[in-house]
Amino acid sequence: MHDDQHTPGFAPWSRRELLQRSGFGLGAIAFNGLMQQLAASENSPNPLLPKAPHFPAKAKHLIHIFANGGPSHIDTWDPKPKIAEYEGKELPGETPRTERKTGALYPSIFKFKQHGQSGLWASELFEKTASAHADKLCVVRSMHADVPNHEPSLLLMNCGEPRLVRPSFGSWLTYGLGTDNQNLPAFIAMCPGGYPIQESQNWQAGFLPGIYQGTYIDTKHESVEKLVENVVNRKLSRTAQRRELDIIQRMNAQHIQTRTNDPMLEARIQSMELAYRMQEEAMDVFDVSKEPKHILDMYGPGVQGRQMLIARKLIQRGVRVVQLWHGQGQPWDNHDKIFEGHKKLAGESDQAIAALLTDLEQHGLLEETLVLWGGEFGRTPTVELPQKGANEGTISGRDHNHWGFTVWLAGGGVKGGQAYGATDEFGFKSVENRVHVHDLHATMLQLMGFDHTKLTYRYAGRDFRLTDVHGRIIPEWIA
Amino acid sequence: MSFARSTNPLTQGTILRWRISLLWQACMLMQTGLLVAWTLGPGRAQDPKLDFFESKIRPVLVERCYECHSAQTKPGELGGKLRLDSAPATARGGTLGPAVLAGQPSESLLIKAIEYNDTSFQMPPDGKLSDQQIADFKQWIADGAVDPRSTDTPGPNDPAADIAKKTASHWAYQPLAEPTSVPPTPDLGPDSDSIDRSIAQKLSAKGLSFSPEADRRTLARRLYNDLLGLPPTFAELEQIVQNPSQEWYPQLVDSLLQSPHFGERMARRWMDVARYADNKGYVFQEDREYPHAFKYRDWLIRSFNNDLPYNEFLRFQLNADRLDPENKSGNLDAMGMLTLGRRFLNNPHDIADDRIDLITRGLMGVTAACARCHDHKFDPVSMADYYSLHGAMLGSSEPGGDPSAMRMVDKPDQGPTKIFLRGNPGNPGPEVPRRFFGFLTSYVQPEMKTGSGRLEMTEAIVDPKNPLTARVYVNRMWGWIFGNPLVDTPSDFGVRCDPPVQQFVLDSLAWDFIQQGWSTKKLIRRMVTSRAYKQQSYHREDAFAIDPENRLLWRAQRKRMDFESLRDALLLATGQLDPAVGGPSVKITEAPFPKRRTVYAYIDRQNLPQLFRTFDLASPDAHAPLRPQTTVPQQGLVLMNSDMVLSMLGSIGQQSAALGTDAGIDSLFQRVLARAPSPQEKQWLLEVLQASGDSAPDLPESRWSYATATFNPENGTVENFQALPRFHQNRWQGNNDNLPDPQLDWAFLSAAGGHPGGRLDQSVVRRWIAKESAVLRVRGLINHPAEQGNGVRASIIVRGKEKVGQWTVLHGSSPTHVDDIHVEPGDTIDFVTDSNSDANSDSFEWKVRITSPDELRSKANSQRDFRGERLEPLDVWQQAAQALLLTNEFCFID
Repeated sequence: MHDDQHTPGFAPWSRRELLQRSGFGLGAIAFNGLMQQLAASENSPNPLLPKAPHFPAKAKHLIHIFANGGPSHIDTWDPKPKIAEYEGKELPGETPRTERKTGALYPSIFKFKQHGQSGLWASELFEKTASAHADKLCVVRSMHADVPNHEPSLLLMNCGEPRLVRPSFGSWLTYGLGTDNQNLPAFIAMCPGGYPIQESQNWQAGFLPGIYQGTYIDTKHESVEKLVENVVNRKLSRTAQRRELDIIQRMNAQHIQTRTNDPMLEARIQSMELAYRMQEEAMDVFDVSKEPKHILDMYGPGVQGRQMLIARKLIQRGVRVVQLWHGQGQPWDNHDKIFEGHKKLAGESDQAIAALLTDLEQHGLLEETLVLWGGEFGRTPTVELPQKGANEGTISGRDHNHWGFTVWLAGGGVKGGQAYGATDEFGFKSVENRVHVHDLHATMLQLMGFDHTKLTYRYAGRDFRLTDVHGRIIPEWIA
Repeated sequence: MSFARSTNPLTQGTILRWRISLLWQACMLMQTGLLVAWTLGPGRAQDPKLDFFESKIRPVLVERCYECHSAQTKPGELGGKLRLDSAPATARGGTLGPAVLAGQPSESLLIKAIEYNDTSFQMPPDGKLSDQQIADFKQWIADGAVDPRSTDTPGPNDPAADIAKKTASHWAYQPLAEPTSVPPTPDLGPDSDSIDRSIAQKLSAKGLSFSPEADRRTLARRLYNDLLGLPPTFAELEQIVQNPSQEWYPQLVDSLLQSPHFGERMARRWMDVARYADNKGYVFQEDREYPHAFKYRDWLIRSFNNDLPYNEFLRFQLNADRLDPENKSGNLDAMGMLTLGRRFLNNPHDIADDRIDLITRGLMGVTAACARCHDHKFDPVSMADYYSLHGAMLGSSEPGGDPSAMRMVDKPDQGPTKIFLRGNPGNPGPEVPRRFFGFLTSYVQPEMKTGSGRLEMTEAIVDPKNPLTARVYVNRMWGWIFGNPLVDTPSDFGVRCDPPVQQFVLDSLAWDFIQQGWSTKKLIRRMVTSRAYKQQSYHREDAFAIDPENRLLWRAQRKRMDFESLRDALLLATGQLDPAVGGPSVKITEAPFPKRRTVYAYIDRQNLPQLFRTFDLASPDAHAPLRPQTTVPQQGLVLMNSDMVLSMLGSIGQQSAALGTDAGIDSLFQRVLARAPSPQEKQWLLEVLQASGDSAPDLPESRWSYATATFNPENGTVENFQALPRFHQNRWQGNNDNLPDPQLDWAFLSAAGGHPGGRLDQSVVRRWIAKESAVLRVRGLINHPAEQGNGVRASIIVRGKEKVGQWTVLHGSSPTHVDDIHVEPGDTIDFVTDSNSDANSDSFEWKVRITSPDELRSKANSQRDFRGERLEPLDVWQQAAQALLLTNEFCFID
């Protein structure tokens, strides 16, 4: 178990390590020459080696808990008592256009309460997270996006652009920072049961090199060999594998003797060793069955608890970005029976989220990990009108709402215990201190040590960036 | 491609300002004739309107606008080329025309900008003016916009003029000309190629010279890789080495150019240019597949093999609907280049944009995508240029069906060509004539008037006078053959692209390429017979110190095999390669792991398997100028562990073993590395070959087995326990692929559950065997999800006869908990499911955990522990083969 140690970052082999690991000590090879070459290679072609951001920052990792489908802000983090006063009545003024037709104002049934020293409001749906962590949360109630549809909104939230092929936030971060642990993928996207809407485009590398793309893990599976591709050799023992690798490395050492100063050859020699080590590391990190009972109990049963616990283990080992999707498709998309739906979904995740924050904090990781919770948009305060084929013909749900919604941030340099911005009195539109998704991205990059206007990549004759030509940093969020 | 983080020279503010300037410019196009003369008058302080200006307007202008719109603004950062620091400058306006229309506040762009209503058009960018200030500006304009600042400020540097100047002298936009002759150097001789002489001249100017010529084996391996993407076999190499002819090298080049595998190699490279995929990317409901995409790929292979002239090659891909309308020669399939792109939820403008990008960057090295929203900032590409191509794309439709699914034809009615302001289709701007790139009109015929204009566009691209098309293709080809292109940015030959060090080589090859009838094979022959190509790839301290990036070409570039070559080489070495040419795409990442060449791999645009990206395959999302080259451990994991690679090792082990140790090792080396082993290497391999007994994988030993048995539900006896014979599609079942099986009926067990057969002797049993004495608990849940049938019966039986629990479930679930089960080593706990006498609708889920009495320690978990067939471990010969296949020697080309 490596639980209590932060796995050190990548370091080139020491000569002794090389001798130990690859059984080179037989005198046949010119080690000195080989090792001098390896030490001399600075411009390694491994693009995932750790890199410094533009300026020092607290946050070094990102966990994005994606409540995909569009969680209702007015049932969770943005209390609107006014709706109850107008129950059954039309929204005064014109109802903003959303995906489908909505009718009268439809109050939440969930009880809201203030939590912590800060008195942050939260509904009973996220009672556990709020009661344990209210003072760490920066709840942004004034988010807005561009359109009320899942596909473009997912791409906007993840890639900063609603339609065209662009790198995801995680890919940009991985491009900018590399990763601290070469034995694990740098950017991991977990979604139980299959892909969310828009599928792997949500963690795409776009025009960045493919290595920056998120690695998808279907956390429905419990066994590690099913979770991580190619991490287990089903036909060979470790011992036999090591023996094979020793032959490979002797052949390689012989080969490189006359082919000096070639970083590609050197890098491949090292990458084979890393691959060998990755097997063990991955087996260990994705297996939660050996975790102590009090930890398993804290996270609770079910797949949300399991994947959040894996997330903590990954961050602890230096993985740069972890994205945790609630589930396949769009689970939070409650066009009908929203109260039952949200109760179930929050019930599945509240304890796990609270546990994740507690666990990160207990491991001293919360201050270096930026945590983002939210969906691609929120939901309307007005009830969705029944429509055959669209909802179940009931009058019990809310439509998509990109005009106003809530996300929250915690950890990594975030000023907690505050609700930032506001929607109108009914929670429809963001009106005060409005925050566009680009602004969220700009500020998150800032928290991770980047000037969002300078984290760029030259493609098709232009320097592209996550925030395109937009983005405004919100200083109030930064501790 | 550089991995280094580049610094954007622009601040966010300047980008915003600049964007708005372009909007301004576009608006000007619409407002011809609307210009209202600026009201000027001598300053008179007593005038209340002047007072108003001085007290309300000027301070705001100074404070909030001058930074970006005045003489003090740095050249190049002047927003919208607009100055607001004098009345005449304001009267001239910026590139979008006047900012202020005196007397017409609601028509004035200045007001539109400061009102902040259009999110894309907001000034000042750092925050809205106060409502009072905005009201003041409106009043000022309504009152005639009186402005005493009559001294004109100098006009700004005009970026358009700057671009025009650079365009006129930019190397890549100059016409190709017959190359000047280069005198031979002593060591190159009178027959030498002028490109070698030019390279040698540059080398010698730095005191350097070519590296020595590589040996035959190295050259042959290099040629095979670059022309075919396959390594030579040992026998082929021997033949080449022993060829007594002086002409062995040109003979080899010609024979490889004649190989049908040549077309496969070139086609796959072109597929990066053409962002080939077998499906559309994300869609809502419609079918995602492009089932005929492979016909385009096969057309490419044929065309390269037949050395179809490059101008014809492009004509078919852009315009085959005119050249082969009935697809009689199969050339209509060439239109797949345009039509096989991402579908962007069928947004026609995004589809057109993707095609324009492919045509402009892919064929001419012009980056036009910027001009969708604004004139290009650096290159001479205007919105009118962009929307001309946009019109040509939107003026074409895809009727589908016969004669080719990938066909495109001109629509009978062509709408007007309109610029979309800011790229927004909801905001159409002025109509423009459909014309090919303005900056090329001195070389090519600009009018695009036949139908959609695609015809003339095509002809302008392949016009021998087009300075870009041949240069761009020759540069790509150089990169494919030599490892690095001459111009680092193969899809951007714009004005920011410096002339390459070897410009003479590029230009003379491009000239010659056109003179030689656009023949790809002749071009390649000239490249690979050059002295530059035939050099060794070894490091040289002297040369490296002077030219570390090898721009002067003092050595050949050592190459790592790309993904396709590597996989193909693995298949070839292990004797598994299916050499057939052409045909439908195959999913190479899925069992049974087809053994066709990688060019035939099914490319899933939406969810490209991790394998491809791990090995740097070009993203099929958009035209790819270059592949990145990364070295990461995931590549090692694939080679070490993937079922795909392990599946290749099937027969090579046996075949080598059959020869005996010594000859077996020789044979392995010949097959994998195409050479004989040294005594030392033999010794190394012997270490693997003589190892014994520890090759089986370290997977935890399974204590579960999966069987049918004869079950007596009353007394709980489990008899006639027969392991389910076959593992298929993640479940244990009868021998038949499809159920029901003649012997075992519907009986199967999967990780989560299963299905019993109809009779009691076809009950399914998941058996766990205890390793030590213990007291245990079972915690579980059985579920019968079907709404039909009579349900299933679940029983837990210890030691084959003691019934400790039994439940019948029908359309629902039940916990299956049992406490205090005492077991001794070797005792069994059976989880038996029978059909409850009717096998209809009897699928069930039954997950169980076996734990210690306090439930803290899990002893077993039926779902997590579930395993399929235990695979035969690799034998020692297969291990030896895998070791050689994973060496650097195998996967690098000197």
